[in-house]
Amino acid sequence: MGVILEVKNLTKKFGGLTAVNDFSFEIERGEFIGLIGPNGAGKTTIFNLLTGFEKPNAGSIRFDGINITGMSPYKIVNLGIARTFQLVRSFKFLTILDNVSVSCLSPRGKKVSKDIGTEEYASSILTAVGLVDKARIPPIVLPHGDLRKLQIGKAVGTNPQLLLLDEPFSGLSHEEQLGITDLINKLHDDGVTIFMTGHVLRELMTLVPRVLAMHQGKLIADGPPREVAGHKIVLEAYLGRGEGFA
Amino acid sequence: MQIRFLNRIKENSLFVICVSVFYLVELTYILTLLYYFGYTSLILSTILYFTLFYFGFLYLAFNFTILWAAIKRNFKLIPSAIRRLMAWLGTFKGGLTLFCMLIIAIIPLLTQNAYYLGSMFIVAMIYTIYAASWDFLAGYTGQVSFGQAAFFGFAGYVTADRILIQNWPWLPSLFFGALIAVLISLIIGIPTLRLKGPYLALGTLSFASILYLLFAMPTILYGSTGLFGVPRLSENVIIEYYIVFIFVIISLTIMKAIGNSKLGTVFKSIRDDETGAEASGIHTTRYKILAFVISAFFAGIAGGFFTMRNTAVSAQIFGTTYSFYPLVMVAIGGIATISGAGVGAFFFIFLIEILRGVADFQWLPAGAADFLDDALIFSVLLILVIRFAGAGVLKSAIERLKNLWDILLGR
Ligand SMILES: Nc1ncnc2c1ncn2[C@@H]1O[C@H](COP(=O)(O)OP(=O)(O)OP(=O)(O)O)[C@@H](O)[C@H]1O
Ligand SMILES: [Mg+2]
Repeated sequence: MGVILEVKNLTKKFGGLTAVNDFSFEIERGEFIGLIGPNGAGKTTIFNLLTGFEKPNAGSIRFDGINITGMSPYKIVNLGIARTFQLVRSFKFLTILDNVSVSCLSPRGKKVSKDIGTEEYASSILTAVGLVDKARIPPIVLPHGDLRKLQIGKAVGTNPQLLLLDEPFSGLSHEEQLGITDLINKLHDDGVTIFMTGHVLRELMTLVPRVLAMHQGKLIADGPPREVAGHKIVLEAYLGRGEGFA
Repeated sequence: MQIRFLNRIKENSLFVICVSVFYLVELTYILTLLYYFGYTSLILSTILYFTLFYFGFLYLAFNFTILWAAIKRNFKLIPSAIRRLMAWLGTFKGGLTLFCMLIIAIIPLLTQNAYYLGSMFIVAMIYTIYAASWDFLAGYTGQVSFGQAAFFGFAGYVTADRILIQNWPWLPSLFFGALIAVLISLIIGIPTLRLKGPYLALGTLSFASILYLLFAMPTILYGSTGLFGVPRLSENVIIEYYIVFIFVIISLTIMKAIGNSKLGTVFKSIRDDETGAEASGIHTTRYKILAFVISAFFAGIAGGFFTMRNTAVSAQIFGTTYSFYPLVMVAIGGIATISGAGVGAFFFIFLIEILRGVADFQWLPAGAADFLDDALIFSVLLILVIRFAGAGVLKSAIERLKNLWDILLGR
């Protein structure tokens, strides 16, 4: 198996605010792991650092043995880390199929798509995420739940080893959440390492065997959900006690 | 299946040959009449055509129907590219495009007036390539160039230089000019396209201004008078017309084909969401530069033709007017359509012509009439288009026409 991602002393400052503070962790290949923390804890910032959309002030990131600290996003994607965004984004004047095709046309996506054809590859992904019957329409007419699926489809098109999902459940109904859960489980069964955020622990609780908890940029707990949930600092962080503010 | 199709073709091949010969003879006949007797004979020849060949025509039309049915039945055996072309021509848009192309193709048969053909149609066609080059960049990739004249003008100068000073034939001169435009686009594009935001617009705008100042200097380069006495493509305006026409079709087809290809999908993804495209593993800078280079190439082709048409080129060509022309034309014709550039260019040229004809500006104070030139017209147009028709003036008109079409066909 081995370590797929190794993060050491990662720090990111925005002016006077330290959004990520001396953050270190490792992810094993094939793991399924969650990242929780209250609003503004720094989860999205961590994802932005891992995927090159932000450059860290200090610390290092190694993926698959390669130092990717400060690399540009497209290079990181082509090494095998794909991500989704907390706020859904899509290519609004392209069809759903073409939205996914773009990822299939990236250098890494092409390795798969050149044998079976871009369109076929993209369609197979749409089948997997459950959007194949909407292949020819633009994303503006999709309901929010489908847009979340499309996010995942776009990420999968780059054929990732490690998939970072930023709040994949946010704004979804319970049924829609179940659909996404199935999808993520399927991807994990196919061997993709999954790292996902959520700010409500309950969502992740049943899904992941391991969870990282962060607060104000710092890692405060790391372990099985049940253990982390019982952690004193986590409770304090979520309930907003401890540090003296109400 | 294949054999059956071939048999059918064989059965019908005699008809096809007959029909082809028949039409060729007819066409030569009509063209000859037109050439010698002008427009009035079109009516004469049409009458002759129907009286003399009416029964033959009916007979051949009947056989053609059989052939067409055979082709339709075996539609799957036709190579997919041709099949797609045929299907496209059957659609409203394809038919309309074909119709417009045919109209433009027969214009020289209707008028041989050098002013109409040269100063209006040929110029409008050159602007079509120019505006399409801008639309390619802005419409597909979302990168706005405010200094497209830098490529247009520079290629114009280089082409003129090759023809006049190096005595090159026009075709290599034209391509050489376009290649130099590509080089310049790399110089502007590589630093500015790395960044997100309006840096390309600023970069191109300032570059065009610098070129303007450089080329307007009296002693260096070609001096303030520029280059003049550049020979036209041909002495014969009709030949010039068809050469430019062919280049318009080829250029627009290439740009449109790229837009519809996988490369085009990647371009459009950058336009729609640059960050998202990066997250999809796309090296956005590289693709933006590629689109910019292609755009500069076609702007360069247009610039070369423009210089040859005007037989001269001066620093004026780097002026902001020429940089904003394509914006207006694309705004009129509709962005990200490529063919809309043609609609916009023709609309623009004809509007200027009509306004010039209608108003002779006599009632204006001296000097004001000069101001009331293209620049003012295009500013007013731009404001109107932006205010009233974001998707291009003619888009809604075409949509209405299409609705009518659908009704006529009972859809
Ligand atoms: N580009 C930026 N510039 C300045 N401050 C930023 C920037 N991005 C994030 N921050 C700040 O960094 C902190 C961490 O934000 P981040 O978005 O990473 O939190 P999060 O854990 O993802 O929160 P949420 O649950 O709301 O998504 C916040 O205080 C936020 O305001
Ligand atoms: Mg977040």
